[in-house]
Amino acid sequence: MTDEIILSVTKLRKWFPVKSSKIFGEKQSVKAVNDITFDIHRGETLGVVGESGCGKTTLGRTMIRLLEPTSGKIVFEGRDLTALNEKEMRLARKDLQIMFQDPYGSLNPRMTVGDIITEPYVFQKMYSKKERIEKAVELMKICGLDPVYIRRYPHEFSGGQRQRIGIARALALRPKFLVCDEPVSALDVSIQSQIINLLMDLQQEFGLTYLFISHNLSVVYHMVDRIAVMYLGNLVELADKDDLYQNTAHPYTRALLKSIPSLDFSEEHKLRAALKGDIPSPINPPSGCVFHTRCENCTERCRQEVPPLREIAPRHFTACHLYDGQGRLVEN
Amino acid sequence: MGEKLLQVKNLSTYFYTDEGIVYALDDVSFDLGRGEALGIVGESGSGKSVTALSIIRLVQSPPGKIVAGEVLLDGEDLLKKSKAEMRHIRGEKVSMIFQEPMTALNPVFTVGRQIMESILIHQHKTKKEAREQAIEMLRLVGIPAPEKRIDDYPHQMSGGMRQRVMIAIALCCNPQLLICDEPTTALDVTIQAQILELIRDIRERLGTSVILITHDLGVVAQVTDKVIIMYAGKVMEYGTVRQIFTDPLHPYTAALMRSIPVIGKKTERLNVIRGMVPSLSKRPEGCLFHPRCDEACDLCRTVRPELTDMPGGRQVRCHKYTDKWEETSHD
Amino acid sequence: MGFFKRKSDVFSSLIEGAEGVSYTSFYHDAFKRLRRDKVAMVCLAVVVLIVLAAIFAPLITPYEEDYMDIGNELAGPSAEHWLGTDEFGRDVFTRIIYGSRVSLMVGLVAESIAVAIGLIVGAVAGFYGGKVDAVLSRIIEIFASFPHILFAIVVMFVLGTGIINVFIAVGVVGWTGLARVIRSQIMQLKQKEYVEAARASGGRNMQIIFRHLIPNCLSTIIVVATMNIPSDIMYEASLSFLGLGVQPPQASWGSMISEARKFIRQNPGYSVFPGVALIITVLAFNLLGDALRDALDPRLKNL
Repeated sequence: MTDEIILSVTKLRKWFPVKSSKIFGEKQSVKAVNDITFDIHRGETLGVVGESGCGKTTLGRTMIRLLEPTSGKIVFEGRDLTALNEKEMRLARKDLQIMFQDPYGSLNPRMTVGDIITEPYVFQKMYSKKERIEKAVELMKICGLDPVYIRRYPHEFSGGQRQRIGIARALALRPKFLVCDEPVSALDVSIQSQIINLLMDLQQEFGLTYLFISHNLSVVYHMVDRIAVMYLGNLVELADKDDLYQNTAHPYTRALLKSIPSLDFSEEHKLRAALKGDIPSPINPPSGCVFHTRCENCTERCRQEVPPLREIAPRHFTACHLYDGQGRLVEN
Repeated sequence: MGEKLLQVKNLSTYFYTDEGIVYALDDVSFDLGRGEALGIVGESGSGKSVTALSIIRLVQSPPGKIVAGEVLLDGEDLLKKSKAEMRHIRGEKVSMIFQEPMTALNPVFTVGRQIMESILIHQHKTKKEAREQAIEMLRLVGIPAPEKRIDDYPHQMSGGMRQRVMIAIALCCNPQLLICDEPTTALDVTIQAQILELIRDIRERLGTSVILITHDLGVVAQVTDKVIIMYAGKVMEYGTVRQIFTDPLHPYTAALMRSIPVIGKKTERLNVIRGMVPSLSKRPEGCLFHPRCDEACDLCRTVRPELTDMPGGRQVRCHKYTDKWEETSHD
Repeated sequence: MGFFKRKSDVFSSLIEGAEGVSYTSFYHDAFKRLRRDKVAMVCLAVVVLIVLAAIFAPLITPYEEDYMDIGNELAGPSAEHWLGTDEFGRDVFTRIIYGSRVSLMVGLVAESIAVAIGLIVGAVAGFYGGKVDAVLSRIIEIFASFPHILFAIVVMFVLGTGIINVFIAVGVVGWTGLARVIRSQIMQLKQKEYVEAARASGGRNMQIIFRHLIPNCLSTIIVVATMNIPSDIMYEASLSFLGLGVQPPQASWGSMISEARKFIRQNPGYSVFPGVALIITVLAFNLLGDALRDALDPRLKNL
């Protein structure tokens, strides 16, 4: 990991309009990603965690403009992606790739593995047909697939192998930045570790930068350098992983960490529900701090004022009124 | 405890498909004491869900068929019961909750009506009494303002709430055994923690025996006392949570534990179990795990191991712990 | 699609051992399932038989299409005329065989027209959504809201009689069902992650439609088209029965039944046999369509 910033998002916002139930009602939106700002360094893995509906998947898709951002800037290697026209963006996609959660839905069932892996070359008009096949063979080997199966169809592979095919396709254009959207969530435990190791090896080999989206905090801890915690479309905490686990700042992060069922079976580690209630609707998120409805430290200020994301310690950011600009705990 | 509530003996369930016989469950035996909680852990295709479905005889047939074994609940063999008797046993003595609370609830009826229905089927109560009991059940499973929520439709509730409703339905006849099939897999971690706490709480308060089926070792560690590790339709290891988590005997269990990332533990690479789960219709010779096992020898490749009793009341299915192992030479 | 299959020579030079590896495409699989279905195989055989009869009609019929056996009009079945003769002494069997040409052509050509219109309208509506979808969906509804046969009659009145116009009328009437199915399927398919993956590597809309969306609709198209063919054949028969379709002396099952009506007392076989031919053909296509759906539709496959 270097200090060079490869990609930075500034006040990135993605709102999805929803149909109002009343004809003359106000236009409403699902605030899936709400004014998020952060940087990713070259060669690092940034983990994004949060519960379903927190906007982590939308964030990943919006960062590579698979979804058009509602507002905000995405600067990749000094270029603002939001300013590119369609043609320029198509070329820029070579550097930005994505792999998906679902090993079944992410591969076209009517295409052979070879066709799937080489499809990006077709779109980018790269290489001759023979070269494409050579590349596909090479990619399959890199991803731990036997190239003799190049003419097989996705349904003839297991879940883990399909994920490898997905990785091979994502790597075909030799991207610099890869969004991994829950890449191991659908896999069995024994297969999960194979894919995690593969992703880590590939990062070393190709100097990749990852945005690793997952709801599994143990996997995230193992994979990543820094962790961003999201809640209801907002970034609530961002820090180096050990710092985040040891000096947890935001009450939501603390609750999340407490909720992981650990392998420790002793009585004092018995899991207790750390959070009451459910996640509020992202259409009408709570006023002020979005977490205040479930927060045990909630004050009047939290109900009214949106807490800004502040650096409370070197490289440790959080959005919580418990901390002042200097990172000290505010006395209530 | 001590007294046996459920005894499963040599239970085998096969599926007869076009591709051949799928040995989904092969010679599975275990006991469950009154008030005990047992975890059944395995990957997909390990037979853990088929175990549950076989116990309450809900295996889809055809293609599935329970081909052998006994399921003794309070000494009575459930496999010998008639369909009508079985309908009464389900719900009254044994209840089950499933992974996906949205598909298990009927979207066109209020949750109250669905809870009342199961009360009215099994108990002689008036509608008014049933409604009162339904409200009581919702309160028991921790749904706030149950008098109001009882008239909600399933889609008006969150995933966690729906799973609570499922638990309420399962508990309304005060069953002796609650089978939970991946009850929290579809839920977020903070909600999962709530549901697991609820299941533990119910067991303590009502003395219900629990079978918890999951792929997540962490979940089992939090809720149950005993654990069965299943692989390819067979029990690989059985013991208390403490025994299995501190000192796993079977190479599969040990490898599984090592392949899970743990927060706070610095590991460069995760342990990998090579290959994949074997096809249940074309099973390997010998030990079903041998193609993926680092310690496999000729014996493992040819002879199917039996479940061996070990000190401390544990059981393990591995040649390593038998006399035959000593006799054969190893490198 | 699938150049990896055809370029197998490139493979053997590049990948050692690739030749011996078996692979089954979705359609291989579907055909295997279809082959297990006995009813489907019987229907397929019947369809093939009808097609062969239509193609080789001059070789298998004992007479010319319009040969008149004067003095032997309205005869019952005999060794000379297996299914009897009509009011002009023409051989009914011969005319039924020639009539199958019309029926099959209607099935093929009219359904192709219907598929072309339905696929384009459905795919555009489903893919672009929003206002485009709203407009196209209304058009589909307008076309679907007319009673089909009435609509076909109107079209025939406008265009005039003749076999080409029958194709057009039946095709223009029959595309709405397919358009609806394709529209909803494309709407689902475009949410798939492989479509997103294609977009992420720079795929254009047209490339995505042709590489990902249409190939995945193909089984639906086959099923819907097969199941539409019987009703197309029936429309032609109905139009010809009403005298709007195929004109004499050309034989068509519909016009034969229509003519035979007048002579039902003298020669009942004259009206019955074309009807039987119609029923067998329609039934074969219907059952084959059903079986194809079971074999091709992955949603039903897992039941």
